[in-house]
Amino acid sequence: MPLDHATTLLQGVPVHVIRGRVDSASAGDMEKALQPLFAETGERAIVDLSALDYISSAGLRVVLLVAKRAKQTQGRLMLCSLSPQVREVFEISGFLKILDVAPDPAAALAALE
Amino acid sequence: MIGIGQGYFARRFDRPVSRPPGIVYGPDDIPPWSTGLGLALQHVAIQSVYFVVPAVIASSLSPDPADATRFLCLSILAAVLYQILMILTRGPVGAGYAIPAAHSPTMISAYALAGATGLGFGAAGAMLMLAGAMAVALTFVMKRLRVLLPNEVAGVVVILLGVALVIVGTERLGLQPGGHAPDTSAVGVLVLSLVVMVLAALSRTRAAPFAVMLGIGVGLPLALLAGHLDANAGQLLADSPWLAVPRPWAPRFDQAEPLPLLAFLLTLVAIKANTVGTLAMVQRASDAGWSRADAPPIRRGLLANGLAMMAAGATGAACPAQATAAVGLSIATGTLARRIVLLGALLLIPIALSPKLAMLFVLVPEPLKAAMLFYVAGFIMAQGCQLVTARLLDTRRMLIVAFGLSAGIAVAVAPQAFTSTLPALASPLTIGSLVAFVINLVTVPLVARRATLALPLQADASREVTEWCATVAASWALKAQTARAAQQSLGELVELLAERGVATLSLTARLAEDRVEFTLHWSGEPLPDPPDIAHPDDLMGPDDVRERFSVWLATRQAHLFRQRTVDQTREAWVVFED
Repeated sequence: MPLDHATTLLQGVPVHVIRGRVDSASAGDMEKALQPLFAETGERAIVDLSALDYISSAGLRVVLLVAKRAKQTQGRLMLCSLSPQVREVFEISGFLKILDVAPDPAAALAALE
Repeated sequence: MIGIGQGYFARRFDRPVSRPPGIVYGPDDIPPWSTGLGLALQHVAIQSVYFVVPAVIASSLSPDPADATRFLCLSILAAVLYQILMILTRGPVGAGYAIPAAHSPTMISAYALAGATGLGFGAAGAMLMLAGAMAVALTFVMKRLRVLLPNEVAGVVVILLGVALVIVGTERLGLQPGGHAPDTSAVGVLVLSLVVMVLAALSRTRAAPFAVMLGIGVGLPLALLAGHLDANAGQLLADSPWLAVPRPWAPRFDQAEPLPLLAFLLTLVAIKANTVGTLAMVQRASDAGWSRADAPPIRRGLLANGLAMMAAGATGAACPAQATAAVGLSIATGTLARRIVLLGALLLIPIALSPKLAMLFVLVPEPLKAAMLFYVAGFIMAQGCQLVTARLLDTRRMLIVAFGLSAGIAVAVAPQAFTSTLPALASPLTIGSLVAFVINLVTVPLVARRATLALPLQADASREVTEWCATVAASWALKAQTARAAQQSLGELVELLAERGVATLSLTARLAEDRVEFTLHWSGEPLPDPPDIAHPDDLMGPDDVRERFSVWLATRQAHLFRQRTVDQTREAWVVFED
């Protein structure tokens, strides 16, 4: 399944849902989709990865870029709903130690408040 | 063969473990003295049930009761040595697991054959020493342990260990041919003791780990009141001295006979499989993340087992082995601390030096011995089922389990047929283990499977390779974790090679019993070596650092990763354990 992206609002906080696979071919699309995030100081955002099937280091690099931008602008980024396969990749790559991850969007929202 | 210090026995290669929920004392924990002593006493109570094994063996080698007592005391000392070697946490010997020792009923048939040939304790000791030496030697050559003893074979052995305990329990109760069927009071004592054990175990209180002792505590006065104590108990106790250092029998290699020696060596297969099964069972109970047996601790445990057998043979004692019932109790109660087994060893020494104390354990009323055996047999069989089903059962694995269990249970329900034709092997455990072991060994070549893929490295190559990998994993019934790790690895490597301008990749997958191997061939530059340690920030670095991170991530879950150049073609080899 190619990369697909949608945005909804959860109590005023944008939730970006990423679907499909993020590899070197589609990492650029993901970067473009998340580009508007953290343009202003103090923004909050949730990235829902429940429908993400696969992520390679190219996709991890995009996630890291967004997380660093959030930090630079005093924003808060929460990832949520990682599938077991994707969670395993985040775990073995050391990303779970540096990113905030919640089990679902509601928990992510609670953590942001 | 890989030598000591190169990973074969080295402790630094042990897989890290995570503590399972519900464990009261893990292997490294140190329980309070009073609790530890109570738990050790409970082990000793169960171990004493096995004292019947040396007693039976002694009667087949000598009619003299004094010889039987001497043999029992020597055998208890051999068991002490076994459990001390097993809990060692340094050096190449000892799994580091809390494994109380007893005496192997598996060997009874071999000793009986030695007795029938007219041999004595010295000759039997010599043959046990030779079997122990063989056990030690086998430990050094069993590099691919999981190929010889995969989960299915170990699981069959553990289930049959439980079956063997049920049989011993029914013998204690007089339910086997030639026994006296129990009266209502014996059944009442048995059932009441079991009920107390179960209620205590389910109570979720501090009494739970002491379930067996509580059961005995309630059952013992009732058994005494109902007259289930041996009629000669008083005389037997009076005749036994308080203190007597048991004199060893020197091994008589000159008296060893080929047929009994063959029986000792054949039984070794079952002993090895039993030991692997028990070690895997404890390993599984101690580690929440357990998915397959971790070989180095098991090898060190097997080495401890072989050395203890040699030492027992050198003194003319019975073959020591794991007290499976006591191990089952530790697992059932979540008390796996080595300290408990060390205290148990210290408690066993005075018993070995005091025939009067040893006799007290021998005199525990039979319905109570049966209750203890039935209680732990169920836990052991359940552990065996978990071992068997740890991997998806394909037809071959099902055949190993089906025929191993069928053969073992056939001996259990019709022992006469086997004792008359195969006396050296006539136990459910021996036959069942041998059948499962042989079927596994004979059918290992059938496991090998191969799949190939020629892949142009275009934009969707990563997706293609992960889909191909998923199909291969499904048709070969790989574990889900193995399949995920392989897909991630191949996807990552294919992306990297495509980025580096490689046009085509040739990929071969090969399935072996315990692993799946992927070989990648391409023309172009070799992949960079992965760093020992990587950090997510490497992804923001220059291309060479990012590429090294990519290879690190791709091979993070691999058992092996190697590269070489063959005729100007690059070859990478990635291996995953399954």
